Amino acid sequence: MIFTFLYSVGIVALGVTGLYELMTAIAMLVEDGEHE
Amino acid sequence: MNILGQVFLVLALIGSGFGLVIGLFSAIANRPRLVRASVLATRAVFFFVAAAGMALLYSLVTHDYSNQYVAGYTNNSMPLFYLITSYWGGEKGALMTWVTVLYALLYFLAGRKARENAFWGYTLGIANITGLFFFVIMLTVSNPFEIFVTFPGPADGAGINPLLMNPFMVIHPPFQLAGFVAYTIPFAMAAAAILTKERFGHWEQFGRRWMIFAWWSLSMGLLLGCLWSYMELGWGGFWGWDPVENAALLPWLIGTALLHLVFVDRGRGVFRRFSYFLVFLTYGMTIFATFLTRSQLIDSLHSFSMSLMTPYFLYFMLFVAIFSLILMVAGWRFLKPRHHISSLLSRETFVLAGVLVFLLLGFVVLWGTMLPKLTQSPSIRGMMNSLGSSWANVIGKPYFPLTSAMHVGPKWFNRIAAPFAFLILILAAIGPALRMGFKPVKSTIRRAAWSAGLALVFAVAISIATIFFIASLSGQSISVVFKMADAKQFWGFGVLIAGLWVLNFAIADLVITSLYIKKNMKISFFMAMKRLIRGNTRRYSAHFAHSIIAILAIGFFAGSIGAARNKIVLEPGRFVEVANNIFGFAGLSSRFSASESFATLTSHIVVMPKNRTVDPSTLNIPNIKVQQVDEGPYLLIPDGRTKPAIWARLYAGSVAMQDLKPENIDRARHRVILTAKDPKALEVIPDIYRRWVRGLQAWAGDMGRHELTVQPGTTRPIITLTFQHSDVFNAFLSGLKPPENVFWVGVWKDRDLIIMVKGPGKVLTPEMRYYTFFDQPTSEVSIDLGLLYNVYVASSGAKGADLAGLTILVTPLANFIFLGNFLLLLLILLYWPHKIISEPVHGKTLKGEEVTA
Amino acid sequence: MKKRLISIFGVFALVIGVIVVILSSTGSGAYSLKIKEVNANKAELLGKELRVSGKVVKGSLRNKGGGFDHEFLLADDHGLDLVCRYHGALPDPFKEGRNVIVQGMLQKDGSMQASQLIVKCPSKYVEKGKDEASNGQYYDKKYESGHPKDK
Repeated sequence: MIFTFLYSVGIVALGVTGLYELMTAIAMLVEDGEHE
Repeated sequence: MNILGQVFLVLALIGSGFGLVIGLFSAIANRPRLVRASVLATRAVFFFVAAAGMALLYSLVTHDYSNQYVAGYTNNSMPLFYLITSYWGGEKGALMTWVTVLYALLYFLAGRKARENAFWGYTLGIANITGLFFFVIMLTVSNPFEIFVTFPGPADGAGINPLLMNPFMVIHPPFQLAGFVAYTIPFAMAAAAILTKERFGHWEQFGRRWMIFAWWSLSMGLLLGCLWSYMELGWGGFWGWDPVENAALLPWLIGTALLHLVFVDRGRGVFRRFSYFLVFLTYGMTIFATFLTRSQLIDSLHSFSMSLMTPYFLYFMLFVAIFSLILMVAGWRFLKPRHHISSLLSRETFVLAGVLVFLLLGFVVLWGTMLPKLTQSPSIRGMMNSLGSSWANVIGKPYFPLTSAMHVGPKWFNRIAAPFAFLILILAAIGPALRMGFKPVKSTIRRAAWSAGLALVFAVAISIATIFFIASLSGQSISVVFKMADAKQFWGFGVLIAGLWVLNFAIADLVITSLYIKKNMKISFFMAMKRLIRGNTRRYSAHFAHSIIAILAIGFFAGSIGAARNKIVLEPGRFVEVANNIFGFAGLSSRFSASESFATLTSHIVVMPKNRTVDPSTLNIPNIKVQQVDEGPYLLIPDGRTKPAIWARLYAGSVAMQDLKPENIDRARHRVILTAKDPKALEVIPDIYRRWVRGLQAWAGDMGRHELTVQPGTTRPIITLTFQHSDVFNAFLSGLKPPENVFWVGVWKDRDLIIMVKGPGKVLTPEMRYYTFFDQPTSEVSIDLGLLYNVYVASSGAKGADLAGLTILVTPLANFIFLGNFLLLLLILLYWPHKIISEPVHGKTLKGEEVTA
Repeated sequence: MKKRLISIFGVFALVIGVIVVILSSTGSGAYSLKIKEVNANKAELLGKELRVSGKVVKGSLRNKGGGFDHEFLLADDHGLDLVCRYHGALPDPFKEGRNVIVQGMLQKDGSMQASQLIVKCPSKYVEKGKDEASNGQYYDKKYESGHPKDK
């Protein structure tokens, strides 16, 4: 049970990290657009 | 979980789309800082893919059969290890594995190496095109997270062919896929180099590490597949020229050519256009290979499901082809070579020759593989027919015109491949000994000639010795074993000599040059050798790598000389002679394996060299005379038929009784009731009960009714044996305890008993496995691994009959493939540390900016 | 100058190589033929490697002596048939009435000595209401007995 929980946490963590990186990338694009 | 996985795949698609667009945009619009955004997007995709991958693993391991992929490739009885490895088992899993590996590699590349300039913008952008393609396929036609819609999924999955549940088989796809995937990176980098027209940071030096890794991984994958084929498939061969095998071979051939060009170029730009062309071609081949493997375009022994991916792949390959063509044209002037080959007798020329040979071989494989499809077109058939009939006229043989498709098989492939192998080995032997760029100095030529000559002498001597050895093995004269007129034997011998020449040349080159240095510098031999290797690492690592290839080639081709095979059906007690060995069949036994859910019919084969005999004293029974027999694993008991007690005791311990155990012993009435030792086996293979009954009835018939009666059970599978005499009864019971080393007992010439014993031989136990979840039996081969040759038996038994259909093979030099594979594994350690965790390469762009890569 | 010579020679060698390869492949493979074509050209096809597909005629499967020598009739849609012999264990999906591809050599008596039998097995799972093609998930099993190398 605990294993399943930890595993799910792991998946979510990966997903969140990915989202964070993607968001940062988009933010960079937006920022760049503004500065032009 | 499936929904979660699905979501992550969608996010991955979005991420890769972003990575692609931002990467290209940053390069085209000259906004180097945005490369960082592409890096982030690419890394994000890695996380999404990892999350999706974990979700898929979860579904696999928890037997979530609502997921169509899980239901199609796993089942309840599959061990955990194989559940995990089902990740790459089916088409959808292979796609997931593709992107998993791709983005793991890109994570490393993007995170650690990418710098903010147009080159990396393009590289990441283009690399993401491949990722995007795979995500599109996965989200449209081939979704690993697709669930059943009309019903919640079956109670148990379909499972996979048990032949695939084997360690070799399981690690072969990751190596292979990693090899394919890794070529994406050099492709992207080459494209980026042309688009930025920057001889920037000598990307070729950097990208070549990826090429080394990709080539190595692909080689390992192919070899593991070969070993699996040998160990599991029961035909004793390594390579069947099956379309799927050939598909994976294509990128390997082009990749090898590419690797050599890049190695020999050393950044000087001698083969620039050719190298770039080969990078594009190799990448194209990996996509083609992935497509061919999974799309069932060509009939294959590896059968996969009908694929809807085909049109997507076709369009993508077209795109790649056009894209590459445009790049080559656009970059033609930029790729102008800066140096040229200055001497014909240089390493470069030999490498170039080798590259051409590999390319032609690639064409051979492509042509043969696609022929069934190509000959479906009437125009191709027409061309073949006109070519064929004209050529047939020239050589005076008849020609039958094609009316529909034609399939070429291993015969044609092997016939063509052998001369290629020979040529490659010759080039590989000489190449490393030559100097780069310049004509060799006279003293060098002299030394090289000595090495070559000595090596040739050794090679020929060893080859001849090998032929003699193989002939003695099979007990036949040389002329039977080896006929120069037989093309296969001829080329096998040729490859043997060429391969040995490579090995000996490498050694000779090392030793003779070391001796020369020792003499000139007056240092010890060992010091001289060390100095030589240190100063010429490329040369000696090339010799080493080529030696591995030589070992493999010898295993593949030379093993055809003197290989003996026999396919025969035997009854218990009978024997067959193959290659100077006697193979006696002692009978079948059965058991059930709970851990792997199969019942097996095991054939017991006693193998013994022909010229040995069995020592009678090995049989330890008091009061009986035992005689030697002329040949085979047999012993004779004269007048044995008049001694029923002895007979009963021997029979009780033989293979015939192995499946049965006494359930009930009635000493008063000399009665034994026998049941199955392994009832589960009987459940899976109910026919074997008939075999037991028939075997025992035959024995009772031989013994005579006054000795023994056999009564089969009517309700349960029991058999009642009633002995007439107590001494026979007791002897029988005592024989049921641990065996006397007697495998089979039979009647000989009416009065004597003949028994099959192990003696100085071995016992091989090939099996026919009946898995509970798989409706076809699979065969498990039994191999006796010897140093220079293996004895190999596969069985195809009939369930109810007491017969074994055996395929017996003696495969000389087969272990060279194992050895070659092992050495190849080590090879990466030789090349890998060589600046792989690299110091950044510094350079200047054309605009004069300092940059690092 | 040397470079040009080498390039020309290289291309020339490749072209010759390609032609040789294609030439060698003409007539070297297994021809896929219909039974009608086989029967009509028995003399020329003797000893050639052929692939014939058809259906195993019900009731025609004979097994000499319970061992591994089998004989059966292969029929096509036009009612023509061909005697086929096979030595070895029959692939499990091989049953009378099924479609089979027989690869082997034509013998003097007009029968086929098969080296390989290719039988397509119906797939194991089909989701209710969906046809096989749109399902895309489950696999056809092909089981070949003997192996291409079995000669």
